[in-house]
Amino acid sequence: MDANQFLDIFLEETNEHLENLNNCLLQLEKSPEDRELLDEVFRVSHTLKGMAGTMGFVRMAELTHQMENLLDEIRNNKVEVDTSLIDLLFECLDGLQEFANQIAETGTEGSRDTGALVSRLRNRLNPENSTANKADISSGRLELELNDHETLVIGNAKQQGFNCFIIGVTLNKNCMLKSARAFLVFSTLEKKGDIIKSVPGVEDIEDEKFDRTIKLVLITQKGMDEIRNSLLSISEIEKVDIQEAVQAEDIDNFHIENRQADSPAGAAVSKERGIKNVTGKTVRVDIDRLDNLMNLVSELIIIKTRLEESKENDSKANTGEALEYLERIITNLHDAVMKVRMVSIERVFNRFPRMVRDLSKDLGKNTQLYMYGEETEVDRTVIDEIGDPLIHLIRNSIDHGIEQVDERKGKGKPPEGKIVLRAFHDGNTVVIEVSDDGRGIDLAKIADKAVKSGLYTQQQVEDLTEDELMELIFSPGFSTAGKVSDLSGRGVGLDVVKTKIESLGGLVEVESVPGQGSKFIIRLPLTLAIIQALLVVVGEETYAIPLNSIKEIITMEPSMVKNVQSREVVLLRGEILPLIRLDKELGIESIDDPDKEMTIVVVKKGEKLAGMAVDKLLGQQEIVIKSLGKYLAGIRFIAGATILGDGKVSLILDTNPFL
Amino acid sequence: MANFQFVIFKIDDREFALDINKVNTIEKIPSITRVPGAPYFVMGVINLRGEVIPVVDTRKRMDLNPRPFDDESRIIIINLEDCVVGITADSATEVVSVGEELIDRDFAITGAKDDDFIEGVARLDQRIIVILDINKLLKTA
Repeated sequence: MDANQFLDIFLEETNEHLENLNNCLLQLEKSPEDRELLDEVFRVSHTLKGMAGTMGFVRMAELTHQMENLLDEIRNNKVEVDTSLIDLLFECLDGLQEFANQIAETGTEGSRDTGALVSRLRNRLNPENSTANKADISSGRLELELNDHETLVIGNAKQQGFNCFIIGVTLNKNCMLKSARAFLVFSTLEKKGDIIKSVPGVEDIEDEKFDRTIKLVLITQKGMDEIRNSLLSISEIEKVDIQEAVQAEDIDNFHIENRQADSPAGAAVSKERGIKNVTGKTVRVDIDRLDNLMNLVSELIIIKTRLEESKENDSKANTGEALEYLERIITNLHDAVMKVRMVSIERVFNRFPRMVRDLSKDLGKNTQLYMYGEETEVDRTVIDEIGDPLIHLIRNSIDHGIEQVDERKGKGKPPEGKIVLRAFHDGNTVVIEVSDDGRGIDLAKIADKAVKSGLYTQQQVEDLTEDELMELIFSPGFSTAGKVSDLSGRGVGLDVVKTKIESLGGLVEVESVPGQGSKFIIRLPLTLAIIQALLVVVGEETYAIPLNSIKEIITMEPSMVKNVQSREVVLLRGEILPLIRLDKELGIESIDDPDKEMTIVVVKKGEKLAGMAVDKLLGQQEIVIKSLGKYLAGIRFIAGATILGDGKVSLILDTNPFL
Repeated sequence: MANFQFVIFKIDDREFALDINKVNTIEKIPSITRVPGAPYFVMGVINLRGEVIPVVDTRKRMDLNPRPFDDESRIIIINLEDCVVGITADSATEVVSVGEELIDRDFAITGAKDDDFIEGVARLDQRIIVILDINKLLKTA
């Protein structure tokens, strides 16, 4: 099965089609009369069927085939579009998605049973036949390999109410004219129905190139017993096995046997692949951007030649000009490469309409999701990480924020709850907002909860400002949901969101007006690969501190350092900061004179501050973050490394453990 | 008879061998950045053509006396399953091909400090070369 090399493409396209299907179905639910949408859904299923078939993913092909049949009936106005139908189609979509995931993980479509789904599709199509299909299957299985076409023929025949039998006819040992007997078998059966396959083939039988057994697939309107009796009436027949052919699962089994027999090598490959995730991370890139990159690289080559020439001519003016040009190209190149890594946030947003739909249905609420700024571009690394926090927030909004329909009506709000998801660029950051027009956050409830859970005393709570109270919802183990639902209220939600966003170098805030709704605002850096950092020297070593964790830089006489409970602290505008001596923490011998004025970098984590004593500041610089690799994973204080202009490696300090 | 190819490197006057399939490149000693909090035998990280790669001090790992780097000193870059690591050597000069019959895999010098890292011993003319089990040598825990 050489198809493996196309697996990546297959998966990528499948996911694209599934996404498209998802969108179309959501729209179709709103406007069931829209022919164009229906056509699009039909087209997508058809394409998926073709692709799955080509790749040999038979179950997937079968499922899409049945979807297609059903959709075709809808197009012909034989079946009505209603909610249960859309639900069914969504279930199919989920099934297909699971296939795709399975394939991505293991390279095979796995043994997930879609039989139930397939037969539900069939029932929907042909309600009156639904029970007839479930005829008994005799236990002894006749092994017969069927190709796709034959499977389809059988499937169709069954839908039209025909019986399909796999028949094994064994001739007597002493039978002299085997082909003559076989001919009789054929002609008898042809009177009863259509033979769509025989093993061995007709030519081989005519040439007597077979042992004693013939296997046949017959489509007929007659019953099993009638066929058996008519066959047994032929002389020199030793045995007749008849078996009801092919429930959906059986088709699949036959296929799988078929394929594995065809390609033992292929099967081995997929097994081997089964261990590891077969697909890497990919980014689809606009061809224009690649062209731009190409151009810039050719510019680089030109400038190199120019520099070589100016070296020979020893002309300083030329070299200076060339260097300046080179710098410009490098800046452009940097921009271009960054753009290649950018992906529109639509990729994350796309799954939310479906989620909101399902959740509101489950919770009996009426919610509509509005999305803006889907085209906002974010670095690929951010895209991968931002999905889960957003899911949390949206669930939170539906579950806690949006009221039940009656309650909304009572408050004079429109019955339909509104959730708005908005993304936009703001300077060097991306802002994502999740807002709802629900009941908002009840500060009294938070205060109450804070006291009850023992986090604060009544007195402390009364001293907190509104903002501080609001912040409490991000504390671990905090939930104001009256009862624990399936979705939220377990108190593991918002603190996880906050931790995640902060680990990405971002911030999350919340605004709320009681009775009118709440708004969560996430701010993220555009990329996680390049950051602004302050380079500092400690002893003889250079470290980089990410600028977004620095509040300010102060200088101080060593005599200002005080001891509180055997810890060194400094006073900054009346606030007490713990003092961290980096040289000690990092095991470096500071070469600085201890009586000299100290340079202190004030670092922050949320509201917490700390002062870090360093020997010297080198200045601010853009740095490219490199991982230290698996071998040195999990080292405290070190977030990664970067390579400085002189080619040396400098470590990036993780200031969080100090705070 | 199967032949194995080994990269030979020296520490003091002892010769060690590494399976050539695991060796990526052999580099001169660049500037090494110390990593605070790393295992004691990790010297630090280097910049290898844009990649940051940890370097293990082979002498420290084997509990041998330190010796300053000189012109002969090298870092041997090794591909492990899921990461790339460098190890230091006094010199690395040779690639040899050794027949299976010359390799003794049950060999063990009891009490030797580097006993743990030995995968086997190869006899080559008058030389005795220790074949290193690189995974054990680089194991951090």
